[in-house]
This record gives sequence, structure tokens and C-alpha cells, in this order.
Amino acid sequence: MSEISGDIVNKAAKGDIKAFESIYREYFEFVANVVLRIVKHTDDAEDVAQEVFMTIYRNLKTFRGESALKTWIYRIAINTAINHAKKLSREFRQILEHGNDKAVAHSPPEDEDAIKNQENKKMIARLLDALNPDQRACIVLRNLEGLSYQEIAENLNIPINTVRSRIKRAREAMMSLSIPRYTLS
Amino acid sequence: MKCKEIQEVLLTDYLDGMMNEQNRREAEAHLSSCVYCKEFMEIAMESTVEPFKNAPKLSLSHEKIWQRIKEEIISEEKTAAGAGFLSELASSFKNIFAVRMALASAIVAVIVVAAVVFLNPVGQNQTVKNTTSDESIQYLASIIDELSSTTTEEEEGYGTEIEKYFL
Ligand SMILES: [Zn+2]
Repeated sequence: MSEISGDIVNKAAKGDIKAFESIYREYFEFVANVVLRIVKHTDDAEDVAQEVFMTIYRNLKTFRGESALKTWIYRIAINTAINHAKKLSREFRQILEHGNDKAVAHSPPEDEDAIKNQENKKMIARLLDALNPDQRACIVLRNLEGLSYQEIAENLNIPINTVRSRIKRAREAMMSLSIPRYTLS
Repeated sequence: MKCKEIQEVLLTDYLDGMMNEQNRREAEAHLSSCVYCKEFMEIAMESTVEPFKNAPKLSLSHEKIWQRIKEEIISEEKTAAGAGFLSELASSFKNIFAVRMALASAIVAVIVVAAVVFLNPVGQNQTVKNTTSDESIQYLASIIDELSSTTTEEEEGYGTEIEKYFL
């Protein structure tokens, strides 16, 4: 990801929609991937992605450049997705359990690779399903986005040891899912 | 180190390659001599790390969402055209209030200093007087500290106002 120039940020902050579009294009893939992994439903994820970019647009004028634009956008995306997932898991726990293949079964499988891809997606969805939204965010950022513990801590605005313990609990949960004898201690 | 402690490290820093050389060697020494931890490690690797390798990126419809965002921005700007004036008015009131706060604390400080200087009991010797005013100055300093810390508190954080949604 190349960094967006300060000039573009300033223009977008003043309401220049073309400038904002280039920020959108730069960060859309990250936002979409993270939001979809955390929120799980395609329809919900679209709403959340829209909310993320609207939050960015409305708050660009308060962005003072103390953290990198990338970090700031990551935070908004992750926090919006986590909040949404928490709200969902409280309100529609059952719907969530039955409907979570929607995001995964996106395109029909065509060849061997596509089938493998589908299986891999389902496997990941099943693992992430075993986690709460906080744990899920840490695993998505670590295992799918490749962030270090320090970077995750900065993005979620939590201490690094909280990152560590969430990752530990998340992995214990994933292990007990695969091998039932490794149940949570 | 005991197996349980080792396993905690294996599950986090070791799996993620975030250990320093010495700790890594220590963990590896344990792994090569403990069958139980070795098996634990293999299962952890297989069930918590491998599945995420080469994971396909998920995506949403880029254009569809951009159209929705554009529509929302345009409709927001229409309503904001009327409300913009009001919000500017509100923020200038906020600024006036901040200036008044600063003024008020300065006046309080002056009054306290005056009180200390004028209300000191007559007839006490010089040393006592000095102690009293030293204490008062410290007290004053603490008040001023407190005042300035309450006004700067909201300035700290992510560097934006967005944090208020998340804290
Ligand atoms: Zn052991």
C-alpha cells in the first residue's frame, strides 16, 4: 500500500470527492477484507464498509496526522466491524449461526483450484466462528493481515499483553475445535 | 520452565516468530526433549496457523459501495448546507467558553495570591510567613496544574475526535 499524500487528505477533508475517491480506492481492499472476516455476512459487511468510509469522510478534518493515515483508517475499520459484530452476536446469535455461509459461498466453484479455495474459505470461517469478536479481530490482523503484536495493539488501542492473551485464547479455542481433547483449560 | 508455561509461549510468540534468540533457543531445547509439548506444537501449527496460509482475500463490490457512499455524501451535503451555519455558531461559542475558563482560572489565582499576601496574621515572624507562602504557592501550582490538565485532557488520544465513538 502506498501512502496517500497529505495534499490529497487535505483536499478530501475540504469535501473534494475526487480526492476522497482516491483514498477509498487505496484502502478499499483492506477494509473490505477485514470487515468481511469480522462481520461475516456480505450484506452486513457492505453496510459496515460504507459506514467505515463515511466515518473517515466526516472525520478527515479532525485527522491531525499524529498517526499514519493507514493506522487511523485501520482503527476505524476494525472498531466499526467489531462493534457491529458484537451488536449482531447479541441480537441475532441464531441467525448468525445459520447464515454465515453467505459471505463464503460468494462465487460458484468452477475448477479444482476454485473448489480448494472454497474449502479453505469455509475452514477459515469455521475457525473464526469459534471466536468472539475481539479474538477474531486479533486473529484476522495477525494471521490474515500479517500485523505484529505491536501493530495490532496500536490499531486496537489496547496493551500488547491484551493482544497476546486474546491470541492465546483464540488459538486454544481453535485447537479445541480441531482436536476436542485440547479443551480450554 | 514447566510444560504449561512453555505451551503459552508456543501458542503466541513462538508461533508468530516474535521471540528473541535466547528465549527461542530455550523453547526449542524443551521441544526437543518433551514429547508432549512437541505434539502440542504440531497440533497448534496445524489447526491455528496453517489454515490461514495462502488464504484467498475476500472482497466486496468496489463500485456498488462507492456509489452508495457518493449518494450518502451528496444527500448529507444538502442537509449540511443549512445546518453548517449553526454548527459554526456552536463551535465559536465553544471557543468563547474556553477563553472564559482560562480567564476565570487566572482571576482565581490572583485572588488567592492576594489573600495569602494580605490575610497573613500580623506579628508572626518572617520564617513562618515564608513557609505559609511556600505552601500556598505549592497549593496554587497544584490548582493550576489541575485546571490545565482538565482542559487538555480531551486533546489526548488518537489525534482525532473519532475516538469518542470507540472509548
Ligand atoms: Zn513439555
